[in-house]
Amino acid sequence: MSEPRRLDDDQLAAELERRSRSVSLSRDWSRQDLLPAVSAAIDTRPQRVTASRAPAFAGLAAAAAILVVLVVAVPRISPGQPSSSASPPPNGARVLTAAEFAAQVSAGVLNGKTVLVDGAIRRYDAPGILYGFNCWQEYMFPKDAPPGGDCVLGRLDVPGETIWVNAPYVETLNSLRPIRAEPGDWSWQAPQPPIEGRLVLSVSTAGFIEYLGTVLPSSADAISVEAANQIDIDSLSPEDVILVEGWLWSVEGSGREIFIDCRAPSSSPIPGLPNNYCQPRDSLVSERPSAEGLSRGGAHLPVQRGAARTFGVHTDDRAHVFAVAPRLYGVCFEVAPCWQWEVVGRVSTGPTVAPTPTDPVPTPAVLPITHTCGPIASLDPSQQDQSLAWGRHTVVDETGLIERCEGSSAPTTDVAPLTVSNLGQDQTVLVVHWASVCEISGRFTFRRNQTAFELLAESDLPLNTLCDGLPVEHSLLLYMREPTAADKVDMQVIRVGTDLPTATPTPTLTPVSRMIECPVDPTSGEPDLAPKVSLSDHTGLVGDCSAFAGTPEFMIVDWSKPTVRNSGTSQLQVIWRGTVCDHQANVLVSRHPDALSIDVNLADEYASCDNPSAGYLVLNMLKPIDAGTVTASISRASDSPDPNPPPDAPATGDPVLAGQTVACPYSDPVGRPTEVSIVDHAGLVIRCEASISSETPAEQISLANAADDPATLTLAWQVAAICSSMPARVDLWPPPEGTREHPQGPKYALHLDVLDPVAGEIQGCRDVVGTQQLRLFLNEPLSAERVDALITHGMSGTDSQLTAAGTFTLTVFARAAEYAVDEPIDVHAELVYEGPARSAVVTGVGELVNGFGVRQLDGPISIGPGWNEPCIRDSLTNGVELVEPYRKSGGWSEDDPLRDFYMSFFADPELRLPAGTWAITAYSEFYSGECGGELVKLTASVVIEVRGTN
Amino acid sequence: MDRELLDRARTGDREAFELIVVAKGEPLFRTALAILGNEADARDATQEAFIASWRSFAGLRDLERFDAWIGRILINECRMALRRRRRVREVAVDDSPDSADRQTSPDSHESSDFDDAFSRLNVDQRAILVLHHLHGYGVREIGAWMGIPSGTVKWRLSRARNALRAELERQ
Repeated sequence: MSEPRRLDDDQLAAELERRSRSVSLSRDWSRQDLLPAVSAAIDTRPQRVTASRAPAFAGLAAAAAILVVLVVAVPRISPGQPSSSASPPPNGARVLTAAEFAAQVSAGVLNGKTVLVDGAIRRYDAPGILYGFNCWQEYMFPKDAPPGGDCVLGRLDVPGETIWVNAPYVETLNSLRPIRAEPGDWSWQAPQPPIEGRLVLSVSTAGFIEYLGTVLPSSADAISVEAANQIDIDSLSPEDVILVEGWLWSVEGSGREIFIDCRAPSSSPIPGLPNNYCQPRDSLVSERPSAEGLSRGGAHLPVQRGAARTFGVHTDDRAHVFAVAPRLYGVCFEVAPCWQWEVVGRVSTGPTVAPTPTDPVPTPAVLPITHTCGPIASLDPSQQDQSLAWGRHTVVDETGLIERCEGSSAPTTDVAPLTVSNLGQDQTVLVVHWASVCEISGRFTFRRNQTAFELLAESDLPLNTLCDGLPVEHSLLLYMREPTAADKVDMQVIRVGTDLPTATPTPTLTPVSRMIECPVDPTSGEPDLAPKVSLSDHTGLVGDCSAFAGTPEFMIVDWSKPTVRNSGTSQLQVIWRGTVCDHQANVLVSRHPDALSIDVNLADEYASCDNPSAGYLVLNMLKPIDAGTVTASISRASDSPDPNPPPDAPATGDPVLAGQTVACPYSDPVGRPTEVSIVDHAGLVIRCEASISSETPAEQISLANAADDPATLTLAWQVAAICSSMPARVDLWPPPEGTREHPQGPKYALHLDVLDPVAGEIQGCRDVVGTQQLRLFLNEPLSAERVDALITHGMSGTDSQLTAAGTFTLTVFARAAEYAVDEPIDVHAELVYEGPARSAVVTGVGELVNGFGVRQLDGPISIGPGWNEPCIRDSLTNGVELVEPYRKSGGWSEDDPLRDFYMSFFADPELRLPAGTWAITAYSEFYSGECGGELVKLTASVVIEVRGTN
Repeated sequence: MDRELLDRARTGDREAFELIVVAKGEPLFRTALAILGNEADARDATQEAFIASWRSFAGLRDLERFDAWIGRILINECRMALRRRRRVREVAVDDSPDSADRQTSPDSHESSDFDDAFSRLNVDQRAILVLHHLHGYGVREIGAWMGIPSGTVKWRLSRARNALRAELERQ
């Protein structure tokens, strides 16, 4: 094996220089190659900036630009005065000049319509009011709620008229705006005036005018669905609108069944963005749908669910022209977020109008109709478990009275019988509800009987089956075309197949263990990387299984164990982190009293293989199983425990050495001798050595034993810059008296205090992150795990310490570094968010500074903190410190020798401490975002001296 | 950059903007090339950065920050370039995220190793290393380019160097 390659700064710079020069550019490349491409792209996309360019271009740049415009020959919209007549309209679409639009708006004839207007929207700056400018503040909106209204863009450019135009905020990637954002971040954004071109304007029934986007010149005459499919949606912005001619069609209510891909997406959802995961989508189609559905040869463009209902109910036979624009979605099968098409308006005229809920819909002529039930639209998607198989509920309507159906499924604790009722007083909705362990297949038949109606629920389970598993609650909403009283509907459960005698015991209660070889799915993941998976089922619940592998792109918070999740009520996904060298995985499925257990054991092929790869196993279970109740573990064949672990005898220290100061010499970056001192309160240190390097450590502070010497400790910490003077002090404290044998009691404490140099503020600093290292040679072995390492920054002469994790910073303040016995000690902590967003959503225990701990460095006392672990949502406003005063928390046992002290300590509302050296530490642990997101752990400590007589 | 030129471009003067493209084009392309390691992607990112800047130039309130502003846009475009490339990626035996990076012909085996390791970093890690070690920017300038506080820059720089080292050692 070759030696790993290491780079110093100069080598790294040289490699990057080589990389940046790996392509030879022609002389004047920017002018001759880049500029024409940029100019052409700008000219062929909607104009957003005032075209106040000079009348005559100068120089080569201008010549190149003119040449490109002529070659591309893209029609451009003339800015300024509205033309007397607009360019030819697309098929059936209404295109107006700005003046025509103004006149028709004034007359109220455009109310409720969406039209195309050739014109411009100008920013209007009144004293103190910058319309349009405020649309730039959109990034300040929190992401958990859309902005409360439109942005007032400005005025339509019509001489003598005042036509205000507004625009909705839409979710947008931050790549187009000069605002602070994190990778992959998004924000609510509105367009920015001036805007000119063929504008898509919607006029509400109250005359409120909304700008929906600007028509791409290439689609000005309305393009076909086929052509729309050829457009690279990623190259557009949400303000770019294409006009597409076709029919809007929805599978829902069509009487057709459709396959919906509900596999887990390969990238993590982006919170806050729209989510159409596992939902049917409507389509813009090139050929008129018939009662039998879509023709096989036609093209279709997927658009948002509900588009057909909102924009597309046809009462004539011709195609219409729809305005379609990109919108950002947060759950995508590949990389999230992603752009998807949405219909934003219908611009063609004709006898059709957007339907209202009371619009009559012709009764389909072909019966029966099979409805596949989508999720319940009125429920917040975040409240629904979309991994459950709602899509399996189907209703065969033999009456023609059912318009559509919606359903939801979720794990529950109790079973409930099958019932039917109306939704409150609304007899146009029938609610079917049941909760069952034995899953009814979800197939219903609605038909007339002799009295009124009957709803037959089909079950493919034999009679008297005792089901073993978790109940799943189902709700089904049947939207009727006419009022239907629930008491007129008889419910029946019918069995499919041969019923067994009632006395026959269910085989599911006497599971038979069996071995299953899970075949590799050749169509998913990276089959070449998939290990051979042998499954041993001791539950009788596993039907079959399949395995595959891939790169670990999931945002799995905890890779220490397999993640188990539902991909259907009866389908489980098991995902674990392995390596590309895993050739065999043995999976054991067993039963605990209340849940399943899945244990994955990986066989090592090459012990040194560390290229990560995710292993996936799909288990099709015979019963609904809630993944949340499944426990999982992972192990490796090489994980066998050492049968003879070395004893970890506690170090005792040499009282003769205790209290001495040991100098650790080293050479500074320019070769001058210097040293770090260590104050050894434990009597362990024989000698020490220090060093400094430009290596960057992974952690702010780390402590480890030398690989070959358990009596050597290596302490390393990160320094912000390397300077000629690196002041630092190390104190090594022994375990407090009386606690040495306590398994959970205080351990050795190593307190490192560093005065952080700041490049540019101290002479002789080199502006690189580096590592300072200290090797402590001890007079007896001491495991690093028995030493708590604590770092403070600049204790000498300061009274506050901070620690930062990403965009969060926790600082703890003490009024002074020294206090008298019985003097109240003022301590507080401040937590601040300084990230790209206006505020950060965090989830934690309710108090973002969880608590404070007090530890006596030269004695036995250690107090708190303690906190529970609920998930309570909170937020931090950017740059605003959350100030938390010191508060006491913690506990002690009744037999604790310090019980009396603790009782008096907690009885005192003030923080008072006995004489000694104390570390007061603030703890802050929370999730960035929702519970289970990125865990942020911060601690910051101050060390104070309390002097006097106790 | 000439403030008057920037001011003209901000008010929609196309000629001024084109002069900015000519002046800034190659440096931005070199930066994108160092980040992406792929000529076609770097060209696209540079081009898209200028197009995006033209579309939103009027919103640039502080002209003194133009370099950081367009640099920020460029990094975002680099990010989008990688996203686009991943989206069309075929499943390959080699699961390197950016195996296409390797088409830039290396001068040596070591350079190839470096490119392989560098291509496994995410775009922010690449960018911060390029800004610091290629352009020699300090933490404040990098913070302005990337829109993050100086302290975060230091931390990310440290993490990026660690990540690169880990990737090199993995080979």
